[in-house]
Amino acid sequence: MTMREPPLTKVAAALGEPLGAQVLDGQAHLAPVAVAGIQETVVWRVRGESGPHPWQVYVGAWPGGSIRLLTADQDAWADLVGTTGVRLTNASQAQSFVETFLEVTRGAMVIVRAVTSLDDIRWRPGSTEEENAKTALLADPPPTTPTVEPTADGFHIELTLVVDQRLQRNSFDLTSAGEITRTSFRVLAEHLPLPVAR
Amino acid sequence: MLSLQRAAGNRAIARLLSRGVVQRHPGPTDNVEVQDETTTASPAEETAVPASTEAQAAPSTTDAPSQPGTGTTGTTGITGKTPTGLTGDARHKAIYDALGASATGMWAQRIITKWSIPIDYEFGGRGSFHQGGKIFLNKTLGIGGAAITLMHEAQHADTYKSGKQADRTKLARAEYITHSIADEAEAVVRQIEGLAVTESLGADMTGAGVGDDLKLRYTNAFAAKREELLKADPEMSTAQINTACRTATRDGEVTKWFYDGTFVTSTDLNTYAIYYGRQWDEVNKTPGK
Repeated sequence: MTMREPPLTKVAAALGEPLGAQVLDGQAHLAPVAVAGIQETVVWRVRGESGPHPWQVYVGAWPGGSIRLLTADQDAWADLVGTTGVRLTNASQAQSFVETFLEVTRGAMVIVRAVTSLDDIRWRPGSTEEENAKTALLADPPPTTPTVEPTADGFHIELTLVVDQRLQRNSFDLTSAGEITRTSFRVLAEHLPLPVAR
Repeated sequence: MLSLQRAAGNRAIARLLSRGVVQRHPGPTDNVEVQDETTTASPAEETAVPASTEAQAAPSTTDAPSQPGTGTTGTTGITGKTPTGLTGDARHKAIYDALGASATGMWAQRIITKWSIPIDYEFGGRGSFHQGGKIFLNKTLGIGGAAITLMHEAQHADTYKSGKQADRTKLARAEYITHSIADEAEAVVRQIEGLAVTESLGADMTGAGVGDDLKLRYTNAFAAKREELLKADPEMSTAQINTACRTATRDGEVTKWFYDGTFVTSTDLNTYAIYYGRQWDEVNKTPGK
């Protein structure tokens, strides 16, 4: 994997003020993000931890040199991977690619975490209503095992995700070139006693 | 007997208020900082516990139909994807009017005026926050959500402007964590106090940051404390009770949320106790390590 940190001035411009200034004065730091199927580093995490609340966004480095925000922007992700070129050769790569897509494009204040069993879920103390929702979920466990099936032009993937205070089953159709052609999700349970991002 | 009970209750209150908790705001004192107490509604008055705090029926596991998309990008917290209708002066006025409906909102208005705090009501970047005496409200927030967020951020702005911000270069590690969380807890209580009145306006609450479940946990703890105090002194005034319950709930239940995983960072999902501890470690690490 090749790795060349993008110019900080461009990253700062992509973030805008006042967060861009934190990139320039060293309060926020860049870290490379590996994307399955792409050799070079085209995604960078930008994280600032000097204030009362930490913040984090992801930016993409386009082959032409432009830097754009990817957080909460799935269209930008699609453009980046389409321009860069992706080659997914096996199920494990495809699943990793989708999990990275979800993390990079999640809303900055939205918790998104793939789970493979209900044991992976980190609970917090909840209200009575939330605890009842948890009890109902545990009494009737939904599917949590990830599935990856090859298709004619790529893969069909199903993942169970924690998204803020709900659990959902997401499905994806993607080509071996990394183009996500269809996404859908079904809410499995909501109002659960799950952590709140601040 | 009544006199004895009252004396015992007053001693309990005194103990509560003089606890050795490191707290910049041991009680709802902030109105006094900006206005004559006699003309200011106590935030505690707004914290009246709702008539019923009984839990609602638990929802069963949802068998919802499949929806397009991923459901993971959220509607707030990042560059504006979902404009909320009002812009410019109209948005500014609507948010300010929403503040004026509640005692906590009016407190925030006074803080903003007192310190001449600049506010970006249509911040197009990531999230909403206070930084260096300025408040940034994301343009994706609904009018009600923005008002509630402003109540929270006004607390931080006040702490910053009054020079009471926790200093990790001067405080011991545990003190720094406690001070930092104390300010957050106070800011969250501000949000909860403003929630009911702001919701009642029918304003769009998108991005309010606190929901009904947290409000319920707050009001349950508040009610439990009230019961305890009334048992100790049945003749305590409502104002005394509300003030004591607010302090106890903030320093107990709400503060706990920053330690027990209720509130986590949006970056790596750690508790705020861990986050502030790491901040302190970073500044105070031994050179060369």
